[in-house]
Amino acid sequence: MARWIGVLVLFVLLCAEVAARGPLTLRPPATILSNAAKVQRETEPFVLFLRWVAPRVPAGGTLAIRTPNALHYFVALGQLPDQVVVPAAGERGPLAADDGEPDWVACYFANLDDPRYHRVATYEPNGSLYRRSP
Amino acid sequence: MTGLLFGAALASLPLVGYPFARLRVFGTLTPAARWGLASAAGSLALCAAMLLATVLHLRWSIGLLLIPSAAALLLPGDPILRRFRDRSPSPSPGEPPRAPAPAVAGLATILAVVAYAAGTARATAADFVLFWGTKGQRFARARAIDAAFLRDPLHALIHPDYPPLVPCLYAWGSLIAGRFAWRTALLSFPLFVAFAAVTLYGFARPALGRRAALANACLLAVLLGLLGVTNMVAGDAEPELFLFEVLALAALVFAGQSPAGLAAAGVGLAGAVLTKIEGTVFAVLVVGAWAVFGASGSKGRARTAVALGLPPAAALAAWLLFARQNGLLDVFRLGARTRLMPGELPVVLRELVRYDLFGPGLAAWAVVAALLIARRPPRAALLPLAVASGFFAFMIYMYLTGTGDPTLWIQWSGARLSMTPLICGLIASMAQDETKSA
Repeated sequence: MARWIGVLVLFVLLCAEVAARGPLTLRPPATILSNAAKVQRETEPFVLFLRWVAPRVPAGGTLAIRTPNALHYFVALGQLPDQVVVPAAGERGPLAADDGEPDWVACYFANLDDPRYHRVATYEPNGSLYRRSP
Repeated sequence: MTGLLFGAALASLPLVGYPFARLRVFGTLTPAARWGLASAAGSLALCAAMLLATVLHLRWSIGLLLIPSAAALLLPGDPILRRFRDRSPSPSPGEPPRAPAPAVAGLATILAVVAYAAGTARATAADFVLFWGTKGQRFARARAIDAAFLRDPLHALIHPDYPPLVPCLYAWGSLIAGRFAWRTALLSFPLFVAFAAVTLYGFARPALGRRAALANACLLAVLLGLLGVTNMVAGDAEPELFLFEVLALAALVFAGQSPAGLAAAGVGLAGAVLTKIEGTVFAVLVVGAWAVFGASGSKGRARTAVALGLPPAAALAAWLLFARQNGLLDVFRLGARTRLMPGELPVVLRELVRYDLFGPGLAAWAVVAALLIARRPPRAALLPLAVASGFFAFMIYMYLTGTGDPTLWIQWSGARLSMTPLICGLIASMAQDETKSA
């Protein structure tokens, strides 16, 4: 009996935790981070940005990710499996010499002022996609 | 469709492992214990096949990876499904012939709530997004453990030598589905909690009876479910570690006197070693505790402890050799550890109490403590209790030898790590004086 009481107590807490995390709906969440804890949820806008980038960059294309958050590179590695993702240093100005000459540059809370690249699309409110000029 | 196939691939792990679980050595176990063992053996067999194929420069294919399971079918064993109906002896004459339906419904409800939490992204682990999923995806595309990707200095943060079992399972799902399915991979959390619950029920049933074994399986499922959601482990390697830890402990506590129990525990320990770094610590502690507190009826406890330690030692040696040959050694080199800082002990203890004991796990600790206090622990409980104590000591040592202020590290990992001692405590609370072979 004691064990069933334990089951009941923990089950009520489990349900309360589940209910507190987000709306109780059968609709799939927008992303795998939609109802996660606050720290994880802060990455969700970037995941949505990558979802916007994905169809715009052809498979196999080299894509540099420029963001102020170094961990975003690892998120992009997983979310853009068809592209060759590389990190890009800095938050503005031209690409650093170490970054090479990727075909595309996706900027998130960052800019690119590099004569070798031109902007091809803008993601409101804080992203943009650049392509290397021919 | 991709998600469905990916999910089916993970759910098929017991089928991949059943050729091993049907072997005669496991003939004394209940069918549920054998299915639980099969899920662990399937995971382990796939990881071992993937590692071996990578070493031999053989590109992974579904057929190639199933060769070990197919080969195991050639060995003598019970035909699959013959023992599906549980005819193993019951501890009391009043035992119901089948598991009570309300309790089964209770377990199903718990697992459904955990699946809902994971499926609606309420428990997504940060590390799943940063590296577990990415590694699995990369391995599947390379059709190998992608040493070049792991070795890349840009990827040092994702720990190149971290044990490979979970990325290998994700790669298995990707090979079947044709692509990695991020959403479905989150459901590995409820799936492995279900495997762990079935495993515990299967090993505990001969000693405790159907009703009590099922109550304990429900308790384990809801405890892992609650802590898994609060500690955000969906997609992470913790759920797989739960299964291996439960398998090893349940096999030793309830069937430790039999060769079947020892062999099943060996599978659990080898799996734990290949799942997480702390899995190696767990394996060392279990083998050490068995040498001291092993089943009183077993002859040559030290000899059986050596036998118990062989599978995890072989698994660790194989992975470390691969890591060394491919220039991946990082965490296992222990280079980042600083010398012991005993002065930090008050801080470590205070933060552990704050974020672990008085964190979201408070209710879980209270339930397990109440069950342990309610009766005098029998001798068989000493093994899991010793492992729990040793694991706590390891946690304190780890936080005392880390770089920098341990507060953030404890905040990040303390509650997750202490799920292992909780599992130990729960299984200790079920131990019987006179354990009967499963």
